[in-house]
Amino acid sequence: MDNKSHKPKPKGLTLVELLITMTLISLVVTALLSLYSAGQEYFINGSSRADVLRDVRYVQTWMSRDIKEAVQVLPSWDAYTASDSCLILRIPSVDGSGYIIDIENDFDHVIYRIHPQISGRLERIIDAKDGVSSRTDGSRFLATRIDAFQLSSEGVNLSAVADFGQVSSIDISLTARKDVLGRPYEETLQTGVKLRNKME
Amino acid sequence: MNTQRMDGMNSCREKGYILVIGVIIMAFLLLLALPFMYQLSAENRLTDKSFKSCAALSLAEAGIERAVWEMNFGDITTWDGDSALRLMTIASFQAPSGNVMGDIEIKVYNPEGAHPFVEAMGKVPYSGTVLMAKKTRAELAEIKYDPWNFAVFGDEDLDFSSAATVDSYDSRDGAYGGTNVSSEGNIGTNGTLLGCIDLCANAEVYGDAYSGPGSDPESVIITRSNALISGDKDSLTEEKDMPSVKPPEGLLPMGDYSLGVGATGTIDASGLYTSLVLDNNSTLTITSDATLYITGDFTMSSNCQLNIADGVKVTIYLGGTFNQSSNSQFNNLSQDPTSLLILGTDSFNGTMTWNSNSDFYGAVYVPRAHVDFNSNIDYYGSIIGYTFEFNSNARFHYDLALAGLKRDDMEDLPWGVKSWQEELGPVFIQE
Repeated sequence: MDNKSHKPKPKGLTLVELLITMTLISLVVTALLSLYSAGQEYFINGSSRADVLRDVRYVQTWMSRDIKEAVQVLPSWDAYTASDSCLILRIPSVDGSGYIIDIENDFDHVIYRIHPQISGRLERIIDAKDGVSSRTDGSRFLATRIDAFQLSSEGVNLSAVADFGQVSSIDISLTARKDVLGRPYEETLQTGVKLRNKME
Repeated sequence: MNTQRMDGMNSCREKGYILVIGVIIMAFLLLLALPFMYQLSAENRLTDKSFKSCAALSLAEAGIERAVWEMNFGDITTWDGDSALRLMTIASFQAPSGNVMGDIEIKVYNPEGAHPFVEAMGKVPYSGTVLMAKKTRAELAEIKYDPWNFAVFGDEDLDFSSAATVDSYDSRDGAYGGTNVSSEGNIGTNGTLLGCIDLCANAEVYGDAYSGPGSDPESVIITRSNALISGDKDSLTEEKDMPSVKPPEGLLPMGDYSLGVGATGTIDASGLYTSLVLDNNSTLTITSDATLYITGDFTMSSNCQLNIADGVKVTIYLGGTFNQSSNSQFNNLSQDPTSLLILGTDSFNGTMTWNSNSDFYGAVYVPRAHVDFNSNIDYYGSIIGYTFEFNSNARFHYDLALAGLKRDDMEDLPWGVKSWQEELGPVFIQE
């Protein structure tokens, strides 16, 4: 009797317990995976938007600074011609400490343009006044994902400006685009910048 | 007993098993969340840095604005420092919302010189005791003044008691006439009293007419029988400044200059004259670019001629009197109004009488003088004075080229930014 009453319980799980456990685990895993997937999508969205925003902001910061410092917008300089996507600025030359040397006589030239051969590359070209300015000639890409670059002044596209001597502000519209997993991410920033050093 | 102990042990083992599973799941979730948290933190840091950089730049720019304001309307000598360098710190600058943005450090080098130099640094708290700072620099200069932005302007009254006409043209496009005639011959006054501008007897203004700021243009500008204003009557949004003319310095003293009856003479250099008198039928020719400052009488007697050679630019400062007798001639041979400028200093405060009968090409700015116009001539240029009396049938043709002709030889011109610069990148400094 004693032996019967103390019969050990069978080890392991019953089929029902196993099924319930597996169902529960699969539910938890599904929930976790969907959470992970949503998180990943959120992450990709966020980081892609941040990437394109950073691109346009970076360009905008440089352009704003140069336009504010410019004394004049030129219709052409050297081999470059101003257009809706090419901006030519005359800016004062600076000495080794970064100070303006002579705002009335010594100038460097800065050109912003979309590179004609490599699409999406926004280039900043410097042509410094030889022997005067501490800036050095050269060019660099400020951004590599520029989809649209539109320049205007007081509502008139830069290519249609009749008298560049009258241009006292520049409106920039800049769009960067990045494709991730076949999905486009696009951000546009628009800003208007006044030439603070414009010569009368 | 043993069975009970075994049951108790099983129970404990089951609890531990759940705890381990719980910890594993939490660790798994944490692993998933960590990259997001890291990314979020990085984005936050970038956004924070960008915001603070903008805030620091805005503070620095506010510092430049403050220095300019202080130079124009305040008293910079109350700042710390001396005449070589004045300093001011604005601590805990507050945005309109009440948020404290940061500090502004302003330095003004050479504040009493011709070109003060301002450096302003905006500093915002970044992390702990570290501050993010942006610096802007500006060279200041007196803002040049454009006296001739009206065809005719008086600080007070303008009385057109004749059939004078006012219209406009642009000397840069050639001579007056044909298609080079326009209706931008604006007249105006700073006066706000009834009838400050009085047009009668067929006077015609092809342009707008402006009364003083805040006034009713209909009561200030009176158009009597047959008088015409082709444009609008309006009031100025702000008073037109009429700054005093700063007499030129460093001119060679030449004493009195006088040409007797029928005599001829030339002037080929700048000079300071105590008087300039041209007697009847005399002829004086100015042959080179020159600045003449006549501190005493400037008299042109009957039939005398004052010729300004073609291509020559002359500026005449008047400090005494101006009397022009009938049939005297002021011949600006280049026929370019921008090449003959007549400016009256504060001591030129009597009546400037015009009786010439030759066409005049030039621009006149005599802010303290009463102008009495009796010449029946074509006047090409602009004339700005204290008050006006037009008694002749003169025809004024405002030259639009004069609108952009700015002068820096005026007293108490406001300070403005001549050159502006933003220093590259923010810097981080220890508080």
